[in-house]
This record gives sequence, structure tokens and C-alpha cells, in this order.
Amino acid sequence: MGTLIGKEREEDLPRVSHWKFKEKQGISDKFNSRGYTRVPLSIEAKAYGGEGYGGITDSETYYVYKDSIVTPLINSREHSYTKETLYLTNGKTLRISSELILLIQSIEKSKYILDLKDNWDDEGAKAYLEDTWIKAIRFIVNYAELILANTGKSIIAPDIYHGPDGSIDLLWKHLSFNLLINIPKDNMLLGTFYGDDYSSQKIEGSFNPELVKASLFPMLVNLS
Amino acid sequence: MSFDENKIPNEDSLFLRVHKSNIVGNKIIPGAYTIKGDGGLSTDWSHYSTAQQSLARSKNPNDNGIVKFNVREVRALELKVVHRPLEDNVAHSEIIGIPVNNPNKTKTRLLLDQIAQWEIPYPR
Repeated sequence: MGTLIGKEREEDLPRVSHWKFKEKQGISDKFNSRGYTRVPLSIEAKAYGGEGYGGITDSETYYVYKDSIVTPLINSREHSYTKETLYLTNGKTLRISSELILLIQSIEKSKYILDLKDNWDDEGAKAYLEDTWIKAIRFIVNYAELILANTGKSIIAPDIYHGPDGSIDLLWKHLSFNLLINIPKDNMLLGTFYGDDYSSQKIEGSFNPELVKASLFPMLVNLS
Repeated sequence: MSFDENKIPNEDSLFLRVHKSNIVGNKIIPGAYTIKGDGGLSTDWSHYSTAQQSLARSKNPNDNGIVKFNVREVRALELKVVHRPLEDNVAHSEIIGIPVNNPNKTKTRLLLDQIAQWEIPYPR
């Protein structure tokens, strides 16, 4: 049989399994015959456990075997990326994968927001809070890292702008879609978003920026 | 005071002043389409004002650009367009119905951005 990751003996498998396997010839048939269903490893797979295994290369696709629950979504691949330090403001830093270079550039450009002083619009607007900008940056970096870890792809980088009422806007104006995400100043308020394909397909809603879900913005995964 | 919501023809245009602080790298940012206070989004009706006249009414014309909205396209977003003349500006009109709260405010800002067209760009 193929190599089993995380358990040495087949009989150790739980009936509803969350274990990951290297996909090797023969193993699929074996588990299919036992009534398991093979599904691509979901982007929430880490929540199921299975950490701490070794010997995985990034060219392999992993699966979970379940006997009843089918979790669709994205094939997961394990990658190891070089991290670099992103300097935010006032000595605060963030670790970010160097593959996310376009996002890093967008973040650097957005630092102008921190330079907006009171009355920046000549109509009495207040300066932006450093914490709000950092909250928006953490959100998009966490989201991008999640997508990178699970698909091996960088997200399409947003333009990051100052928004209304001290909030921060993340804007994508892509050929095939546009999307606006707003991160509010008030920590009690949810982030909000609206996007469409310039036609009839639309998404909109709210989300907690601290609890990133990879499935929230599928259009941001660059499939090219 | 009530206003006739159908007074301004669909074929006409509205001019919106955009301050340079809401223009980043020649792009108008979605924050430009935000109402201040209790009213609507202040614009000038093309029936009474040219874009140049609208620009001239800003505090500092050198720090602003003018974008144009087609009234029909604004109404298609389920927003209302009303003529609300001021003592010193007979062209003054407002786009009303822009949600004050999210998430609809986020949606409306992006949709307004989609239909806005530069009439007098900034920087010039």
C-alpha cells in the first residue's frame, strides 16, 4: 500500500477519518472498498488535525478519506515559503511570504494613509488610526497566506485606500471582476464587502476580519 | 420640504466635485462617494451648470476634479436624484438613498464608482 502519513497501522484509522495521505498507487482502491470516500483536502483541513507529519513534497496532492462527509473546495498542497519581515509602523512588523511580492508592494503604497492629518480633505475629516490600518493589513496578509498555503497561488493584490469614517478600503478592479472590502475603524463592527463580474454575478455580505475563511473570496485566487 | 424626484430628466448629467485627497494615482477612490452629514451626495445638475462652473464653485478649484454621472444610471442603482437649489447655487442637486450603514454603503460606493466618468480630471 502507499505511505500512510501520521499513522503506521491501518487499523489505527478512525472510522470517520481526518487523516492525510500521500496519494500512491493502490491506496485509493483499498479505502474505497472499505466504504471511505476520497475527497480533496479542504482548505479547512488544518482544523481537522493531521499536523506533524513529514516527508511531504509540494508536488503531491493530498486527500482526506471520509465515510460520510464530503468537504468540497480546493486541493491542498503543502509548501514551504521564504518569509520576510514587513515593517508596518512604529516598530511593528509582520512576517509575510516573499511570494506575495505584489501584495507587499500594495501595502507599502498604502502607507500614505498614515500620513493623512486631521482635515486632510479640507472639510474636517479626522486622521486615520494606525490600529485600523494594521487591522486591514493583517486581514489581507492572513488571507493571502491562507490561500498561498492551500493552493500554492498568490492572491490578486488589492489597492488599499482610506475609506469613509476612518475605515480602510481594499479594492480590486480586475478585468473579470471588481470587489470592495471595507475594514471598519470600530472593532465591534464587521468588515463588509461587495463584488460583481460587471454583470449579473454578485457577492456581498459581512465578515469578521479576525477569523479569515479562505472560501470567502474565491475570485481572488489567481487561476492564470 | 418635498422635492420632485422626477424633475431631472434621465438624459441629463450630474457633476460631482472630487477633492485631490480622494484621488490616488489618477484613480478616484471609493471613499469619494461618501455622504457627509444627513443629506445626500451633493452634485450639480447639468441643466444649470457646466462642469467648469461646478469646479469653479469648489473651495480651491486647483485641488479638485469633476466626475460626471448619467442620471438614468444613478436611478438604476435604486438611488434618487433630486434638485435642491441653494441660494448661491441653483444647480445644486443631491443623490439620495446612499445607505448610511454597511454593508449596503460598501455596495453603493462601488456601484457609483463603476458609473462615474471623469469630466475634468485631476491632476490636469
